[in-house]
Amino acid sequence: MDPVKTSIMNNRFTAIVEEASATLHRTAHTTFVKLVQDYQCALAAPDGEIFAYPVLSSVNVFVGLPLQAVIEQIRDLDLQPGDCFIMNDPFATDGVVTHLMDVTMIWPIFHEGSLIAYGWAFVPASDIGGAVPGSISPSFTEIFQEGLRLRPVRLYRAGVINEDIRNIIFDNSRIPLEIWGRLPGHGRRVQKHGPAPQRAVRPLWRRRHPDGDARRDRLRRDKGP
Amino acid sequence: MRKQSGDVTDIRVEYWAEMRYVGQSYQIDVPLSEVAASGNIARAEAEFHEEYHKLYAHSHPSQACEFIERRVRVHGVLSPPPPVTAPQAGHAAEEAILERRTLSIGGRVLRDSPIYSAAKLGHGHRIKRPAIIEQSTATILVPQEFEATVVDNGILLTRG
Repeated sequence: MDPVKTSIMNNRFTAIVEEASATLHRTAHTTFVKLVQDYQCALAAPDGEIFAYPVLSSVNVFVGLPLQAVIEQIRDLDLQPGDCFIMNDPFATDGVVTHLMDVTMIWPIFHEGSLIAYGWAFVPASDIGGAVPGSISPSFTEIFQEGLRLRPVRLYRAGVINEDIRNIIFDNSRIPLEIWGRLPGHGRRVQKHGPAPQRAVRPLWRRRHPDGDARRDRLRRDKGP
Repeated sequence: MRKQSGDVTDIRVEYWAEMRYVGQSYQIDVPLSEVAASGNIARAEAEFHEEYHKLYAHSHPSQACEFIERRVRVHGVLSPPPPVTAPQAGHAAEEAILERRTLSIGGRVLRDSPIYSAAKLGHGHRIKRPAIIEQSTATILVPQEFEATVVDNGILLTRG
């Protein structure tokens, strides 16, 4: 494979996720993001391996995060462009989420009808319910004290929000408006950045680079797990 | 501003606001139209949503936004300065040659190529090529295929 073209694709993919990461930072509603820089987003291959990850800001320990456990749960659910799944349960996601406050979204990215990648992003909620305000206490003995648990559920179907899921989140946080202020922020950003990488990836993917899939896989191999 | 300088030909005023959605940590700079700046809050908010969308590819027109700061920037436009015309050089271009060196360009060895001092070149001088022109801030190569002359405002012009 042409190493120059592969490098160009690498830069392109990295630029997409860096831009999305910067947008998450600059549009945040929470000090977790502004001051702690506890958030991130990335692009993963259809099998769940991340191949583009921002390095200029925020959390970088998830660079090798395997999304397979979530992908296996959602890939047969008639995925469409504009879909977005929300989740925060470490057990149901097999560790894709590390604690309940890290509200995570994963959405499929399509090109000409075929799934080419998944987007991934998380932003901490300042309160996701549970026994104490803020949802964190060293006195907890089981996860149910930490608040609302969501396995991967569809928050958006083809760009339309599922009000039922939103209401569940609303009713389980002490600061629902505040949380929702950032979740659709998060969600709509995700929705917008879902199409945004699609727009960015589309011209590069098969039209100019018929071996786009192979290039993505090559980048994955080069970066290692 | 007109008192400060008689050369001001025009005065331009820009109106800006730093705005964000309520609860956000960062604000953005929104260039406001005159209508918005004159106190039309609804218009200013509409311009914020539009600018936000331009920057971040999404916006929330139904969400409340807030002003953090309003600013006015005033420009006094000056007429462009007249061109500087250097007098014709009173000496030959050869007098600007510091030394001669062997240049190697694209595999060709060019012996006794002149090295010029840019400070000693003047209006009307034509450079013998190939050559190197040394300046305090730059080194200019004049290959054989290029012609270099010093034009009337003292600028070195090279043409291929």
